[in-house]
Amino acid sequence: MTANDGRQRSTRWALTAATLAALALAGSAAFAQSSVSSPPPPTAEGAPTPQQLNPLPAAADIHTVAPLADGQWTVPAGDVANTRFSPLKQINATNVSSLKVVSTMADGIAHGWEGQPLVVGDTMYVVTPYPDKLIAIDLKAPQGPVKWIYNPRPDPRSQGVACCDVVNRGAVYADGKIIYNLLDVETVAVDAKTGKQVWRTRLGSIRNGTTMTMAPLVVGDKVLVGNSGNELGTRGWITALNVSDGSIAWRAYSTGSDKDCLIGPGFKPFYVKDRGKDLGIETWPPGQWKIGGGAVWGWISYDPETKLIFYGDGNPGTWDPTQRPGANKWSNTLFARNPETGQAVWAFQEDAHDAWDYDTTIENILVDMPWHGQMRKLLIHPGRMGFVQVFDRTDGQLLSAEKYVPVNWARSYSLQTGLPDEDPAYRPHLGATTSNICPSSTGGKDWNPTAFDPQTGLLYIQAHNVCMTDTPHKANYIAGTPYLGADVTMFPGPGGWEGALIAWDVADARPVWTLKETKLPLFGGVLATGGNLVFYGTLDGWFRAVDARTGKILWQFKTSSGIVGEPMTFVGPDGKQYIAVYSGVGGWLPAAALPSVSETDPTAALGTVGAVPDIKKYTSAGGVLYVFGL
Amino acid sequence: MYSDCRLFLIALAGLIPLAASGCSASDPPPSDAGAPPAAAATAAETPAVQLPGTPTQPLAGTVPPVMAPVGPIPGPQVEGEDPATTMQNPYANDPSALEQGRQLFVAMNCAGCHGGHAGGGMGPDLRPDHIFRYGNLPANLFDSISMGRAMGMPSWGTKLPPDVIWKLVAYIQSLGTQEEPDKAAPAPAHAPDSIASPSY
Repeated sequence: MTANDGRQRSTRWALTAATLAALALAGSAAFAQSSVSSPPPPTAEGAPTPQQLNPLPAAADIHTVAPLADGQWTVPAGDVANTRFSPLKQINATNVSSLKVVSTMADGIAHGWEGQPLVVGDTMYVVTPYPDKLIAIDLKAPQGPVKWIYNPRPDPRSQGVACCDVVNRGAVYADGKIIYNLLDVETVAVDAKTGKQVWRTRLGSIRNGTTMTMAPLVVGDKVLVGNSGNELGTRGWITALNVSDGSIAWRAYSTGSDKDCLIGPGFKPFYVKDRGKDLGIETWPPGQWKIGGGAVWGWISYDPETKLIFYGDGNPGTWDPTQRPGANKWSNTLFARNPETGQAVWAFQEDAHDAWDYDTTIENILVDMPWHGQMRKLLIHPGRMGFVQVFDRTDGQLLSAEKYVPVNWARSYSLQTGLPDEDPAYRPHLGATTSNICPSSTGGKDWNPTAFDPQTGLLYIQAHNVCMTDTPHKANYIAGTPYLGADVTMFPGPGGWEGALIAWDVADARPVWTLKETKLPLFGGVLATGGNLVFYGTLDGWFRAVDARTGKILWQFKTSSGIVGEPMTFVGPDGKQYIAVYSGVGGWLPAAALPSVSETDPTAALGTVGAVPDIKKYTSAGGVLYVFGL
Repeated sequence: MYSDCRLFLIALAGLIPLAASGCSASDPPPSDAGAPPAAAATAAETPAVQLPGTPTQPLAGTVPPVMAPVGPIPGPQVEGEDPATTMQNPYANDPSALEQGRQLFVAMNCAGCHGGHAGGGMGPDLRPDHIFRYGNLPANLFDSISMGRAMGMPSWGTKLPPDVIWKLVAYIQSLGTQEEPDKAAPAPAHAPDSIASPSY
């Protein structure tokens, strides 16, 4: 190489560097513009405009049963009633256009970042996807430096037993401890100040296909946790541990004898269909209940007035219904239980002998509001099966069930019997391929939680519109491997849209407005605030604030990855309100965005790839925590 | 690696003259021209090596005598030295074995993890567009199925006979080729309108 050659090459590199620097400057200018300018035109970047369908509900006297405390966020859904509503209103419809990033943190993990941070005092706590690290962030210092990291080192083999990505939906705070679950079936309590482990309890084994992904809830001196693994022949349970030392107080199985299911003399189901002795054994072929699913992997609610917890459990295994004739109780069942003893008070099975994987683990929102002129204690269940159901939570009576997405497996629910009016043309069975079932197994929405705003009376649903073809086949139970029993292909549903934020009028059981996505479904959570705002994220990474009454997009920011996390809000030590959300695509429906999943096999990731075949064009994995402020 | 290296160079370009040697990660591998041919001795011909700290006499009945190194040793390699590169699947190109391999892939719950047609999910994509961390030669695939892998792949070597594992290997090797049995039907672009309500 001559000196002249060297000079030429140096010049070329320098030019490249200058070009890159210019690009970086342009990028930051664009960033600043998008953060501080007036509301972006809703049509920019292909953002949807709201479709108005019905008038707003009449103003009503609505009570949330357990309002949020003083700007903190100490339980997964903000409050124990699962409203995901915060009364904070420093950030509101008039100033949200100047919302901007105040801090970010990458988790370095290319898996779905579900769940939400906690804020307790002057500290934020985040739980990462596997390896389930707990990171404490100091909110007093600029940009939020890390205080400590707790690394539980769960068994790496648990990654091979998790059905739907190696996710974790977050922690709960109680008694000076941050408590959460590990993928390898353990619950840990960590000192919130020091990051030192206080206790660690093993609750099951990955060897029989069990994992844990859900966010616990604390009621009194007990922490409530549940398992995952319905696609691996686990046996579902909810377990209460003593907050003080992690010892097990009680466990209620979802299948088996009444004794195992903590069903006793106080059990009073509203409907005949849910009455009988030892139904957790009698509604199964001999022994099948032992590998029958019903895992409790979703959200738990608590009502301090009736002193009951409410949760739903998951689908029966296998997905081939022909292998398990019977109602398969208590899979896909809503339970009300006494948190002290675990004893069941009422139950409601959503679909006997499930054939679609319509888990009932979806959140239950507890509110007191007028219902047909009379104040009622309601439980709102926006189910995976495509109906928004409203129950009287004191006794389990079904008051309403209306479709919120395109549905054809059932025409309606009977309020007299509690039974769905099924269309047999869309019930899969062995030896046949059933086409165009709506919704798909992922439901009208999956675990990704809604928010309920008591100011508007609207439930904000992150829905997806996906249907499926289902070909059941015989499944062999081989411990620790999928006990699946179906070849499923999903695809976008009718009407030319894939996802929608739906503002649902609970009192009148109808949509008020929708904000539709045409490229990708929605698969993250929603936050409603006292500032007349609703926050949600999209699978192509947009994080948006919309007017709670009209659905008009008031602000949006493009995050680095698709959003499957749940936005939350808090007041920092400086007295200012902030909004936080995880960006980091993954989980089940968006699995084709992960590097380990091919977009060429529509049946991959339990059939979800067919629904999002081109998702890799729009997003890729890698988690980042975003914190926004004015 | 290449792009990382390049960015690093871009960052340095304005500060120091470019090093003549460039970046090793983006350079072609070093030539074997200067290596003496004798260095390419096979493992079998290599004399037993006394490793540091190894007792000269094994404890009676507990430890085997020090063995010759097994497998390739560091140094210039010659093509074909790794037995995995030459080991053939006894069922390769056998259409009935491919069909059986496909049935086994479903029956042994491989499909539940790796996708209905091996596109991935709980376990990684096995189709040809994927990089196989542990190699995609027939012998590599056999070892991965037989021994299991650290991220959660179970070991099947004590549960399935070798001929069954080789049939699974044959099926995996057929993915994306003309010979792939029972190919996945493409998903429809979207469901027909008016098959479900409500529509809005």
